[in-house]
Amino acid sequence: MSATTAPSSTETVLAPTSRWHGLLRRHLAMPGILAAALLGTYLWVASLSLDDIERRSLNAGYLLRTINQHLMLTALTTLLVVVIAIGGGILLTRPGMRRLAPVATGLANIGQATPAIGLLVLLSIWLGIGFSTALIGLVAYSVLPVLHNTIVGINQVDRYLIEAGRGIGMSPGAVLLRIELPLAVPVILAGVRTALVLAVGVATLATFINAGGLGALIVTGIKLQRESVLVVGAVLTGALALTLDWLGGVVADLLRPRGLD
Amino acid sequence: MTENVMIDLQQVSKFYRGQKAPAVENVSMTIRRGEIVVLVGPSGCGKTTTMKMINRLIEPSSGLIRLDGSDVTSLDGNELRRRVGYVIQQVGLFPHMTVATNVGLVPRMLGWDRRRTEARVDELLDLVGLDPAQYRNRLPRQLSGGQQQRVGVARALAADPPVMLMDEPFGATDPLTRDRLQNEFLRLQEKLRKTIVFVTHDFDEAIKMGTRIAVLGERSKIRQFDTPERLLANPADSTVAQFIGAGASLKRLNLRRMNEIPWEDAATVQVGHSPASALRRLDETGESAVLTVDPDGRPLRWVTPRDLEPGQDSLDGVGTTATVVEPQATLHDALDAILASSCGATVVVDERGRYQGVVTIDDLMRAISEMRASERANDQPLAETPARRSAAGPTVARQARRS
Amino acid sequence: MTFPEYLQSRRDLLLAQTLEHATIVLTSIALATVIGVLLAVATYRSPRARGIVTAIAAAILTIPSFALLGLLITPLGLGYVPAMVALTLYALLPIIRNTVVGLTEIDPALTEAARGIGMGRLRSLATVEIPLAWPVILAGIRVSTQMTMGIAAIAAYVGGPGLGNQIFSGLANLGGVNSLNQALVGTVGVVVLAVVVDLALGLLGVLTRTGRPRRSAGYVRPRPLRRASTAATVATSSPTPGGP
Repeated sequence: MSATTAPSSTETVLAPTSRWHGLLRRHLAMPGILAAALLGTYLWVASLSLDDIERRSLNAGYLLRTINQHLMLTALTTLLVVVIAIGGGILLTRPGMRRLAPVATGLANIGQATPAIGLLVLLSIWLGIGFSTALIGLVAYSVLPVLHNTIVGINQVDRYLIEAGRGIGMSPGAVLLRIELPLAVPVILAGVRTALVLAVGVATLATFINAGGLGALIVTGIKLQRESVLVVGAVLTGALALTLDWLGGVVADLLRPRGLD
Repeated sequence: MTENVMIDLQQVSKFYRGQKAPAVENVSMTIRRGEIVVLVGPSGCGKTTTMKMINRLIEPSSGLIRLDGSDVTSLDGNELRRRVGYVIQQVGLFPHMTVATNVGLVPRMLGWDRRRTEARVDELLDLVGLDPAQYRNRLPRQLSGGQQQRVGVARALAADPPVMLMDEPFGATDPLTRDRLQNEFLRLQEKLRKTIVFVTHDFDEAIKMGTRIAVLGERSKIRQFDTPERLLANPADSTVAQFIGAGASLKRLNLRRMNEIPWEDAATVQVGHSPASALRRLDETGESAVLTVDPDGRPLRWVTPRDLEPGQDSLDGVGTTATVVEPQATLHDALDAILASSCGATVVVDERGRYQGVVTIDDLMRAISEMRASERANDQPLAETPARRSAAGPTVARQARRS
Repeated sequence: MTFPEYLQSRRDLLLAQTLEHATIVLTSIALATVIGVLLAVATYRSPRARGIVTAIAAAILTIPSFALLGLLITPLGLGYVPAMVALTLYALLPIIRNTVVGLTEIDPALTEAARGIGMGRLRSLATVEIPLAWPVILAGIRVSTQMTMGIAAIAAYVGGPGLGNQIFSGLANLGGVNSLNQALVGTVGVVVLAVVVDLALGLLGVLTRTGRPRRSAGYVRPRPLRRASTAATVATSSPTPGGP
């Protein structure tokens, strides 16, 4: 927008620069803390003399492989969740389907108390262990917050805005695309961010059903009583979760429609 | 007669599933080109439902609605609504779009190119009194409530629709802003001559805005459909009388506007001049008070010789504050302003707030007795054309009206 | 062995594990409520301080539970203690956030009135502000309880008590006779327990509700689910906290 031509009296118009400043101010602390935690862990491990078992886990190749598995699980889960949950949320807010929305909300509440590990084990008994079972479990576990937030996000859009849109002759599709969805973006993105964090967390349990991920390090550390492996696994998992959540926060700020406070 | 009809409702009803009684039952009503028909009634009487059936935001269950000759149910609903202006109480500006985008939505949907839309947006903002350069790129939350509603009106006017539907458009604003918006809208309507259906529950607003008023009862049943004058003079039944409420004579002051009665000239003096020159003006004109105006001609205060102490060297802040009304204000508004100013007079100003003339309590009394006399004289059906607003008195010519 | 037969044959064990599960969750929630409310009370008047406290609680909630448990067993060893510490840490955020919201949303006229009749800060907090904020605080407690119910299952892997042990037995026996029964009773048991406890907390809300008018309609919006959040949404487990 032509913010440069805006007269000085419109001081509340967000100039692009102030937007970036705000973004930096709000999001600068976390990368610093994470970098410090990772560096500290690295220096601590480097100061230890590792035995064979530890060296089998704590080498760049193995670490990168587990991180990669973890990220794959998380990324695929998030992708599937976004498609399924946003699509479902749109459907469940259309006239006619609206009556089913409380069911989704009720499921979301129960889902919150469901132990993820229980879900993974039950799915493994049914479908066998492995990557695809883990993926299904992760999607099932993370889909509900996004679905719930999509429904809430669309339903919280002022109904007068929808009526105004219809009143000036917008088609239902145009009202959805130009009014309902843009105004629901902050709430939907909050749900996606939650799903992302849930997926990273549940992916640590994927190792229990042979689907890899950083949980393997933690399990090794506990089972074989190797503190260094345990700490590296836990720190990496935590850092990964915080990094993704941080990224989610930055994206949410960037995609936030103007005009909302 | 038929080509003069813009909206025609015949035996229109609305039933909702699961409700025994219809929300609207057998409403028939004819609305002519260029008139403002106000639907007024208690909340829940179905007046909004009746209005929304005209642009099919609510589908009628039975009956026929014709808009400019064609049956609205034969048209595509979205196309229909793009050609009928729509203003609601909550304004409904889209908060994530700029003022320009909001106003330009309908033209864009109608396939206008960007340049034509932009030019139209600027024209409309100017029309509703918002400087395009200043407001075009603002977001709705950066506007006051009154400004938002002006943008809402601009959006409804965007594709120059012949018909506007307005659902309590000024209901959410404070009384002062509401008055201003009403006056501005009437001024606009003098130029635009739209056919307007206006819903309100405020009978005073109905009297002020309406060419004709339909008083609705339960299920949108029309209790009386007539001009404000005749409604006030002859309420059809006790329910209508009850709805009009007490103080009918006072309400009749709403029937006449400032631009329909004569104004006087006041002695004015620029606030920058000396107290001595103010006294000279008083001597010249023989008036008892002089009106100070700012360099742009906006009235400030009434100054009497008693306000001027010896040795005073400036007129700034001297005297009692003057109250002002616009030419579109009613006699009721003027009486209010006169009572508020302790000087027995109020100043008439144009839309920029510049001095145009003065109306005193005596002028007002004279106008009221003339009104009484003329009502007694033509106690017969008034002219059936929407003539009330255009048939302004001879004094209209005195106004320096913006073209 | 069918599921009912399994339930029958392990009745005592299952009841004991359910009780353990409820105990560790409720103990952690009680601890988190005390700590969370204290932190909120100490910081809610300074936007900066409460921002920092909320951000830390949110960051803790973002760390995967298995990783946090792993980090905690290094200093605390295996067993009950790391599980309880982890659950308490996780439960903090919804309680802190709701307490802050509940306290800041109180009509200033009421706190002023309390001061006006000569109450000190602490007395005003204890007798006016916290009771007024209680429905919102309780809503946060309910959300925390639901969350920790599921997380407590994972704690079984580091020697924690509760129904999670059934799930991990099922995992260890994968393919064995009782694997499905164990995983099922563990998972469903936790969900059922969560529903029962939530109902009980709801009842507590009704019982502790006093007759004063509440402005709840204004600030308790439909809850966008945010497990790890810095957004200023109030966590509520039902549309209105403490019953309709």
